[in-house]
Order: sequence, then C-alpha cells, then structure tokens
Amino acid sequence: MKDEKRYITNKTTLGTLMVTLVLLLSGCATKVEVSGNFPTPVFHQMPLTVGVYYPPTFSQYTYHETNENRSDRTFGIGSAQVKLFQTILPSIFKSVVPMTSVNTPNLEQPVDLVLTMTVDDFQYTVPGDTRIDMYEVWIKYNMQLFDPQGQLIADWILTAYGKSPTAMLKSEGAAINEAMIVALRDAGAGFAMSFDKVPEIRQWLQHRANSQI
Amino acid sequence: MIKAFTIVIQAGAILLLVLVQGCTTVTIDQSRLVQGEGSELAAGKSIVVVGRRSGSEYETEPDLVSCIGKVLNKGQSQVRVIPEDVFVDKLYPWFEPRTAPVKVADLFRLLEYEELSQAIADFDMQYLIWVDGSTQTISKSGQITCALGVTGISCFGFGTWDKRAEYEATIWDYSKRKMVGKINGTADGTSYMPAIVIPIPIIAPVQDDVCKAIGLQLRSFFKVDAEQPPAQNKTM
Repeated sequence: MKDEKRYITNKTTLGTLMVTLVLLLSGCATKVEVSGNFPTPVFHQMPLTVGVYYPPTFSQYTYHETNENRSDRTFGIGSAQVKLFQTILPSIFKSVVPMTSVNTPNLEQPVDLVLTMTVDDFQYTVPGDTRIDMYEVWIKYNMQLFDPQGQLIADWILTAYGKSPTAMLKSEGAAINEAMIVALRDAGAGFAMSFDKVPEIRQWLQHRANSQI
Repeated sequence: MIKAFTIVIQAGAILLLVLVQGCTTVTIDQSRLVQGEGSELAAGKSIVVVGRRSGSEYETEPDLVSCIGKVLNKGQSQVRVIPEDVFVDKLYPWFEPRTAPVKVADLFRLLEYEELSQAIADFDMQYLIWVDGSTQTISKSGQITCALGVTGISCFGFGTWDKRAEYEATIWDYSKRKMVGKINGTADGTSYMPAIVIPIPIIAPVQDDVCKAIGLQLRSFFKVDAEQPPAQNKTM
C-alpha cells in the first residue's frame, strides 16, 4: 500500500515536471494573430470610385521565422492589413468597390481605378537582437493601380515602421502585436499622404481633370 | 517549522515591499518663452498631452504621457485634459510618428485642410503639450540565484540597478499660435533587490516621480492652483 502511494506520488511529480517542461518549451515559440482597431482618417475625399482587390497572398499573409538562429515565431498579419485598408480607403475615395480580381469586366458599378497590393518584405527585431529595449517591425508593400481595362497606371513601394517598448508584465506576443498595429497605422498614414503624390498617379489625375473641363 | 519560517519571511517581504521604495532625485527646469504674457488656462478650454514618437532609439511611453495628464487633472481646480489616444485617433493620420507637426508653423500649415481644422476645433484646445523622452536603465550589478528545493523555489543574492527618466515637455499655445514654454524633468534613482528565500524588490519609481514633478510644474505654468510650486531640485 505504502509502495503504491509512493509510486503515485512519483508519477504525479513526474507528470508535473513534464507539464512544466512542455510549458517552458512552448514558451520559446511565439504565435501572434495581429488584431487591433484602426481609426477613420480625417481626409479630403477624392472624387474617385476605386475597386480594391486583396489577393490571398495579402489577405492571408503570415510570416514564419525560418532563421534557425532565432526563436520560432509566426505572425498572422493578413486580416489586420485588410481591416486597415477597409477602414481607410472609404475616407480617401468617394466610393470603394471590393473586387475578386484585378480584371473584373462588367462590374455592376463602374470604377475609375483598381487598386491592389502585396507584401514585398517583412522584418522584425526583438530586444535581444539590438541594443535597444524595443520590438520593431518593418513592412514593405508593393502597391499597384490599374485602369478599368487592366492597364497598369502606377506601381510603387509603401513602407511602414512600428515600434513598441518592452514593459514589465508585457508578453512578447502583446509587444509585437502593438508594434504591428503602429506599423499598420503608419502604412495607412503613408498611403493616405502619398497617394496623389506618386508621379504616375498625379499625371493620371491631371489628365482626368483636363479631360473633364 | 520550516514552513512557518518561510511564511514569516514571505509576510515580512510583502510588508517591506509595500512600505519601502528606493530613493529618487528629481530635477525640474522650466523656461517660459513668452515673457509678460499670461499663460492661464481659459475657462472651458482643454489641454492635450501627446508623446513624441520620432526618436529612433527610444519611445516616449504612453503610460508617462497619460500619467502627466492625470496629474494635470488632479487637485482642486481640475483641468480638462484630452487623452492622447482619443486625440491622435480622432486626427488620424495627422499626428502619427511620421506625420506629426514638428514646429508650430507645421501645425498651422496643416490647418489649411478644412476637415482637420474642424476636427481640432471640436476639442476646444488651448494648449498642446509634446512630451519627448524615455526612462532607461543606466547600469546593473549583482546576482540572484534561485533554486528548487523541498519547500519550493528559494532565492539568494543581491541585485541593484540605476535608472534615469529624462523628459521634455514643450508647450504650444494653440490660440496664440506659438511655443510658449518648455519644462525639462530628470529623475535618477537606484533600485535594489535583496533576495533571502524570496526576492524583495525595492524600486525607485523614477518615471512616476518625474511624471508628478512635470505635471505639477505644468499646473504652475498654467496658474491652475492658487499656490504654485516653484521650479525645484529635490529628493523624493
């Protein structure tokens, strides 16, 4: 009876140790599905109807760390990116039409332009990587603008940067999520501010204004 | 017996934690850039405190910015302070790190956008305060070792670290369209962590202390209280 009790106690201790070990090991992997809210921009709306196509590589974009020297990390950014653009575009353009591809003929609502985007590059650093106590995120987008006939009008790069300081009791996942949201807000600000300053777009807008006179 | 001893130690440690704080030296330096003009806060007007986030190697902590707002809002005469996140979200994307106006003239250039001008007018703002700076750990020393024993985890050792909180609050007068003052606040403090069975952190609250000092000095700047604390150099 006594031996049986000792066996059970040892088994319980072993089980506790195993669970602790698993928890400690799983602590090395970080998985973040970026979530947050984005404010509606205060902006002078452009009198344009713009079709928007979010390709799956953008709407389901997930970053997996492949460097063996770094901890295992996975960041799901796709849905947060789509949420950002769904929030800001209606404030920048008079009308926004969701599209299922860049070339969608016979749309119920005719569009002036079709916008699409992809993630070209994603980088991040954690406090151990640099000498500053900060989580940092860089995202590089490739933006493309087409006319309704599918002809490319403009192709430009939009960069975004976000950082978040370390804090007591703040998990790595929470800090990275915070840095991502700052970066996405930065992307939204950059897009809103630079859209009509891209030379090809400015030229197209000028041409359109002249033809309407 | 061992269990009772551990409980006594833990209770003592918790009591120490509650009662003891590390020492902090706070220095406040104020410069009023517009002499001979009143900087009183007009009745019904509000103040906005926003963090500058353009520094590449540091980030002005949102907690510090909101703490200064809370100190401004305390006391007999309450000041209407717009929370940073409310202000920045409402005026998105004009007050983001890459777009925020750096000079007063930049802000008034932005007001050419009718939508933005109206959104700012809705806040009924008289002063916009930019807070720039950070709290950094300057040095660390000591060592604490923890081990898993029969009675649980027990630690032994001693650790100490020095922190410096350094911030500058720049005051823009929205109605006069000029920068009217600057307040620099610095706090230095050493924290200790002796560990006998459990670690007992004796924290020097440098960020809290510099926040209170800057907040009180701002109240003095705006002549919010009847008795105003003079610019000071004190140990808290």
